[in-house]
Amino acid sequence: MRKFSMKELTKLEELVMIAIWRLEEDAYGVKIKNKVKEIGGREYFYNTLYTTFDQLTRKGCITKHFGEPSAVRGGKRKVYFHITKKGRSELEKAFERHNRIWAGIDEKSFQKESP
Amino acid sequence: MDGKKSRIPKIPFWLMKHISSCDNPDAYSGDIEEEYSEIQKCRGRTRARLWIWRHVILAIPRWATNIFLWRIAMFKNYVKTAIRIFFRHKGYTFINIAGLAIGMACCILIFLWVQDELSYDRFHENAEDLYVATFSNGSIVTPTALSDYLKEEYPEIIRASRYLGQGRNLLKYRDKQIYEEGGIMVDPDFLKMITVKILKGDPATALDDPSSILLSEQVASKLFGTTDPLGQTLTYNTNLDMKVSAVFEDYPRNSYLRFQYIIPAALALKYDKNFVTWDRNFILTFVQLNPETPVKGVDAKISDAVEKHRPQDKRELSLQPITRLYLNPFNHTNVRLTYVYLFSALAFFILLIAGINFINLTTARSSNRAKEVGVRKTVGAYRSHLVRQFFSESLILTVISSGFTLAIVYLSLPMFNELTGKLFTWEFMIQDTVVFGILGIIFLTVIISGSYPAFILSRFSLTKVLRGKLMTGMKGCLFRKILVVLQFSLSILLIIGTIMIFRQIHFLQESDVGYDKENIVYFGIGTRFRQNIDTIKTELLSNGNVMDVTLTNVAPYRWNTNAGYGDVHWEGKTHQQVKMVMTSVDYDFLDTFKLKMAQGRFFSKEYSTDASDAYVVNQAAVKAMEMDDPVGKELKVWELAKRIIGVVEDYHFESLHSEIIPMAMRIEPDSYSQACIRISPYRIPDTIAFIEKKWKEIYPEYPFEYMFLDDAIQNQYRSEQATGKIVTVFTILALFISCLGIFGLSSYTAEQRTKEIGIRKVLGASVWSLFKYISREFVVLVIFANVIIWPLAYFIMSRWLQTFAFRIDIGWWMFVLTGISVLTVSLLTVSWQIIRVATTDPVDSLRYE
Repeated sequence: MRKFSMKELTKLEELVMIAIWRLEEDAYGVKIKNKVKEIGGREYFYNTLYTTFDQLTRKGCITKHFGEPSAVRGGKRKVYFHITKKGRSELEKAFERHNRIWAGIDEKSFQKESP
Repeated sequence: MDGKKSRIPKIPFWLMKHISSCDNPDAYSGDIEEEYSEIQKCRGRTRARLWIWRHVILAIPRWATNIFLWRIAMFKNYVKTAIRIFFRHKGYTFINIAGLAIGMACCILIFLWVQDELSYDRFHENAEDLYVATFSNGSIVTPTALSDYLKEEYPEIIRASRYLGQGRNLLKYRDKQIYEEGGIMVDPDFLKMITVKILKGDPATALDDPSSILLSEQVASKLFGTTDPLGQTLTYNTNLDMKVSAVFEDYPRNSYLRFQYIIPAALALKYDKNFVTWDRNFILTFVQLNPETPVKGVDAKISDAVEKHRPQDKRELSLQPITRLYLNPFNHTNVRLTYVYLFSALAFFILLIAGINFINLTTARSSNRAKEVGVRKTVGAYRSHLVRQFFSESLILTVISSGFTLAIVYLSLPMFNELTGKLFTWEFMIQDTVVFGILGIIFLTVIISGSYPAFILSRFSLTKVLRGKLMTGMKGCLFRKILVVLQFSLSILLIIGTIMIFRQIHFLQESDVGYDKENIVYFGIGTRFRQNIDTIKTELLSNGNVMDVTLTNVAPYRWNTNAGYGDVHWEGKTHQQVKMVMTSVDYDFLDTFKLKMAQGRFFSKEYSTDASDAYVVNQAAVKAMEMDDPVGKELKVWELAKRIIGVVEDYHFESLHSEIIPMAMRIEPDSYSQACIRISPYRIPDTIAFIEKKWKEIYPEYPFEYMFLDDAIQNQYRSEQATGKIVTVFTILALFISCLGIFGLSSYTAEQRTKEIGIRKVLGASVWSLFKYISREFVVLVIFANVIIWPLAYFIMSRWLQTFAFRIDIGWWMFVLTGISVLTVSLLTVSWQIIRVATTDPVDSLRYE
């Protein structure tokens, strides 16, 4: 297996992981896409999302398990994603970084004159 | 809504699936289907379709980058592996590169040649619409009245021109005088039909004045130097004043037509009131059709154009494209086209032989690569990746070779030009077609040499490879053997072909033409010469080295091509057409050429009637007319009725390509245009000088130019000679490449069997018995190659020989000789390796374990 030097999560990766996290047991393609749209505010295509899934899988942040095939999906199985321990710690790091970056800034800060 | 299956549009969905490169394609497409049906349910079908198409289109950029990056990355790896392997096995790499480079170089040279042969007369802007009037027997020599008639009677024909070659003429301007061979006489339409670039002067009016002349750049500069030739007056044949009305760019070499200057046909009309006639055939007729007209329809209409005016001529007229004229000239049947095919086949064979080398060396050494294949498969290479890898390898090797190829082509171009009589330059190769051709050749090489190894090597089963069970079974070996047999069969075919071609050329040159062609000098003469012939003859014969002098109407070795065919009648005529050539000779003709009489006597001054009332015919004529006792019978050729006084034994008055045709000779002093002088073989330069002195006395204004008859005859077979040389060179190269191949194979075999040979030696085998043991394999292959190719070679060569009226017999010794020589050469090739291994001390070969 190829070794990845662990970089910080990208915005999209963060978004996807949070979507998966929130969906808990029900995190598969369509749902994740809708969730990402809901919390991220814009629509991503499957192509992009699946590339991100692959990337996250390789980084070891998420795992998958196969669901049952259903007729509405043309007989194809769903793939459900879960956050791994490592993924959780990565999210935590992202959260900390986020807080660090935005520390001391709140809504009021934006109403003042620009620095 | 349709059934379940057609719910999703197939095309975008299929695309979607194939251009995505994610790890979970099933889930991916499942998701898309799910959302698609959701959208379709809520927002309608159109929306859903739009949605999926948007998906497809937006996925493309990522897909493209992906493919590209990964291919590049892998290709880099392939290159690296390939180069390492090339360096590790320098010997095999050298053999492969040398074989491919030489093979491709041959191929490119031949391609250049073929391309040039096929390019004749295609440069005309109207090339597609230009035709030459042709009789059904293939003759393109037509009556002078034809072109005007065609143009007037048939609206489809928009332009027409007569075309008459002028032979050798003297052009004179002030004190400069030159002989020019390439003059033509044409109608004004001609300049609009063919593409010739006028540098100075007005093409529209250049031929209007009967005494105007158009010169090529070359002639103009020879004659006028730096003076502006336009409007100058030059003397044509010492008696006509012609005004230069235009100068044209030197006419391209790749045309059937060749000319250095152009004069109007109106000039002939001015001096010869009977120039336009239906009675005689002596000019070519070119026409241009309306581009919208299909030539088939016109052909049908004009087929009886000549017959209408000359009922006795039953030949049908048709139009032959100008582009076919060079490849299919009227007097030889398709010889050039045959050569084009022959050479193309030759090129392909050589490439094939070189490709087979690559295939054999690669597959033979496949066991060395098997582990690599196994490892690649283990880490996840698909078969397609391996196929791609081996193709890349052959591509890399071919590209390296093609570098050498271009160098070889560049260096051998001058030699090749000399061989073929063409003028290829380095610039010629940068033309579009040539570049594409060369790329095509490289591509073909990659395909030929890369395909088999790629599929064989990628097929190795993983478990077998890694367990050490390699594919050394009969199948791989058998295929290799078949290829070696094929290689050698082709080489043998080429060698047999070469031997035949040379034997045939030798035969043509050495065979008895029926007259003595040695030591005969001939040159063109004019009125002054023929009017004083008796005095001149006496003067010439006063020199002891001048044996005989005679006059005739055409150059001696091509009586047929210049003499016309006449309408023939004779006493007791029972059947219709006999084709007969009429020539004019004088009384000394028989002695000069040392001909023999079969019956009767030759012309003699002792009989006063001979000058007006006598024919001498050849045996072929007697046979054609089915006469039992020809002497004394009346014969009418061209409305000239005379008595036959004798029959001369047949002799070849034209090239040995053709049969001897019936001929009638007569005394006709007015038509003499050639003098033939037999000189003694001693002190030839002195004799020539003497003749030249006499010439100067008669024609102080003309330079003396002469030819030896045997040289001229040799020149007739120049195309065969050139072909012979080219075929020889390429045959030797083909054999060389084949030998390189078995050299590689044998060294590989020797290398593989080092241990076996060591053990055999330990057990007491001698070098000689080892040699016999290993070389047997190759010897069997070569013998087998011989046996299977002989019938084919026999068939092909007998077909080729049929283009000659007089030809050699195919002897069995040629086949046996070829077989033995190929066997010897291949045995020598393999023996070097085998002996090297067989003489190694077994201690060395067995020690390393």
